[in-house]
Amino acid sequence: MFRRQSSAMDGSPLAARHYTGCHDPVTATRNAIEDPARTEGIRARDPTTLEAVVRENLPYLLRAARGAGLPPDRAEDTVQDVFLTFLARAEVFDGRARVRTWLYGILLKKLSRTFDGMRRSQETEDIDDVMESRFTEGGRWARPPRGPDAGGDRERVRAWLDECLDTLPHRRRMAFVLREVEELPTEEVCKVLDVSPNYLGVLLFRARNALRECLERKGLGGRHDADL
Amino acid sequence: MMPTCREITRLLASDDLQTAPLATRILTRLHLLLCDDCSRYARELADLAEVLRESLRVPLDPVRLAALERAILERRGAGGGTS
Repeated sequence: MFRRQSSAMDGSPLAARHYTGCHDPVTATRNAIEDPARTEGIRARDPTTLEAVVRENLPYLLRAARGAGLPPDRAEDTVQDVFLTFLARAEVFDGRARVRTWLYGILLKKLSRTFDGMRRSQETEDIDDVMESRFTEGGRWARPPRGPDAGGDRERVRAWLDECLDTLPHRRRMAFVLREVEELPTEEVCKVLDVSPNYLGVLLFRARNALRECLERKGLGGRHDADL
Repeated sequence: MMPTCREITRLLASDDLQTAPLATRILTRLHLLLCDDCSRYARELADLAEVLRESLRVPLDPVRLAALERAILERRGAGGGTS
């Protein structure tokens, strides 16, 4: 994975996402609202529709809860609670967002309650300043990134990433997870987090760079003290 | 005008590139072709996402999944959860 020299232009979906953007207005619009017939079924509490909503969305919600940092058991309890909230309030679902987006929104509220009060020490670190310090006044790299390195074994990198994710404020973490793992379009992530596209950009910038910096400190990259 | 390295990192990490004008996207591509440091940075971002996807996109245990689904559906008439 760390040898993708040509990935910038090789046309793979991953490369396209980072280099040319994956925003597709047609798809985004189609995905942005729920199918009217399904919305009607949800509002009318049609058992078949509700069962289908639970069945289809359960794996996604579980993954998002785990991505947010909950251990498996807590993730299951929390997601169960998300669906019970959804089922209790199905008739107010308005279909202006996909039902999955709505469910992610409920999950985020529950996570906020879980994580508020768990202030993380690194939260005060200003990643904007850290990034700024890496450039010259003219905007060129003063301290260039070390770059991905195949030397670090994958399991170790995953473990590091888990630790680094735990240092992120939960909204930044959620923005990153919804965008990168769930691959939600920008506008849906904005709905879940209830933020403007501009502010989502700020959250993602901080999340990605904080993770990069954290991994670099841990030794991802060829020239690190830990490897000496 | 060609974006600076600092601007490239902002465009990439904030997803702003997706909605940037065509000229900016073309100049960004060009910059990435010419600048090893920025292309390394871009690869780091792509790899971050890839590692996260790998660790989270593992198949869930179907038995646990079915049990959870049953638990939710059985409790749906019982007053629901807290909002």
